[in-house]
Amino acid sequence: MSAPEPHAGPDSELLAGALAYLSGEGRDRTPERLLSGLYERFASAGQQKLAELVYEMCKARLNVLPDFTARTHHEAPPRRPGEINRDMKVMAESMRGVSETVSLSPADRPLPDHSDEDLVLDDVERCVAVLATLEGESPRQQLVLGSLHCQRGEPERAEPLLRKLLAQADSDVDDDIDETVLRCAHVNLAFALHRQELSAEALACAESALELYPDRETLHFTAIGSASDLGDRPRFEQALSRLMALQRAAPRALISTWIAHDLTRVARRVGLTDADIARLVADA
Amino acid sequence: MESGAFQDRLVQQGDETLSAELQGVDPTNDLDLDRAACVLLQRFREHNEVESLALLYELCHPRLEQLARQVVSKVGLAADPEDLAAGFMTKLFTDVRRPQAPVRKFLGFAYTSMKNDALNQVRQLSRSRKRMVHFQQALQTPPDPARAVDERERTDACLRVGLVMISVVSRCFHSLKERDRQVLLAREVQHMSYDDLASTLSLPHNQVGTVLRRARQRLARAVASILATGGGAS
Repeated sequence: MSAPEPHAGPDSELLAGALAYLSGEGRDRTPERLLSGLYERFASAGQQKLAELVYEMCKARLNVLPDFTARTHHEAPPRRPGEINRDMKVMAESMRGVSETVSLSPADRPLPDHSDEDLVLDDVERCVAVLATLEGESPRQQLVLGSLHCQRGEPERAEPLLRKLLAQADSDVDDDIDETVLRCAHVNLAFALHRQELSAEALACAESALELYPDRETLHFTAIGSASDLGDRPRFEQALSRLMALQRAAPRALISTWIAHDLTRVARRVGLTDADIARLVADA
Repeated sequence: MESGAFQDRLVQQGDETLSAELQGVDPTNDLDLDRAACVLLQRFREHNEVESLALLYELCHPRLEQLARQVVSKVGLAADPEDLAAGFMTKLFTDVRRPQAPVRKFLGFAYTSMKNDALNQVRQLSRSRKRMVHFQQALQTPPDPARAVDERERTDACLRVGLVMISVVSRCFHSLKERDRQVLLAREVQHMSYDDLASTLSLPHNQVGTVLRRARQRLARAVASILATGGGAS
């Protein structure tokens, strides 16, 4: 089929090009052109895949911290670092000959000693830097950087990152920011405020986020902890009863652990007696 | 790619083992393509050699594009088949699971994968269209209660007029002669063809149109006369 002859005019060249493209006759289909197009695709997709793996590695490395594991809800739990590492090596090898070699070090190094929290956090920081070289300050890179700051005891550095990320999402008409990242950003912002002892702000942030994500147990913990810090017994009881309702509906290990380790401490701060606590827990 | 050209490319690769394995492959034969693809894909997966994947694309490109065209037409996706085929190859490139079982029926695998990809694209497009509609609705000015009342009243008025018209048409239809009722019923309700009308009503074929037109005119005149005298008001 030949492309119809367009009328002569100022846009005729453009129109002829478009028609030729649509009819399939205007394409450069030489093997060289096909292959160079394919290699471009490989380079871009490979880079994206590597970024996904490095992001997963950041999570896996944070996950070795006992405090992180006990208090973090994972939407998609990371695999073991060894498995991620193997995949990163395969992808990096396949990328040879397609694009410039990307240095994954130290993301592909073995994990440091788990017992040394500072070493682990330094390692996570380096992984976050590798992620930034792969995809810049992407929403998930900012999210994991915020988690790192919180774990380092620098929640004041996490707060602006997370606020900026959420503001960016508000003006994001195309919904390019992944919903999971947004959910985690809400949870982490409330936590960062709580860690800064900005209890009123943390409680407000957690409660407004709970309207969006009522089944995020970590948001409930923050709301309860902040109400406890404020000494606000009515809001504490309200927040606790919401958590207990969640636990009644579908019991979760993370909530059970929290009840066993943290509930008594925070409940006493608002003047609840052991009998009150026992009654609330018995309901759950 | 023709058979000779493919063998030349193999020679260019300078890999004697590969040349031996793929000797006699006819790129126009699906069974040969499946066999060659199995070897090349396995080679890529074992040694992470992107060149094997590129050669596989060169070899199968025309057939892949043909399959992609079928997928695009079946799924109803406004996409470039070449894009879909290249997307499939990219998926093979970024699949890092190792080891993997050999793919014996490469073309079938490609077809299924491209179809799933096309279906996902259709779903994504539909979601993004919905989001855009929501966004545009959010930009619109809030509804005016007075206007909503007007619209409701207009809808109610239309409904009343419709009911009156049904009642008038029904009265007029039943006041028509038997012959007119039969011809209108057969054509307008039962959607009979002119041939069927002619045989059912025992009419010469060339008179069906005239009989039908006259019946319609008589019905229209009856309806108009009732409406003119206000007889249809309820």
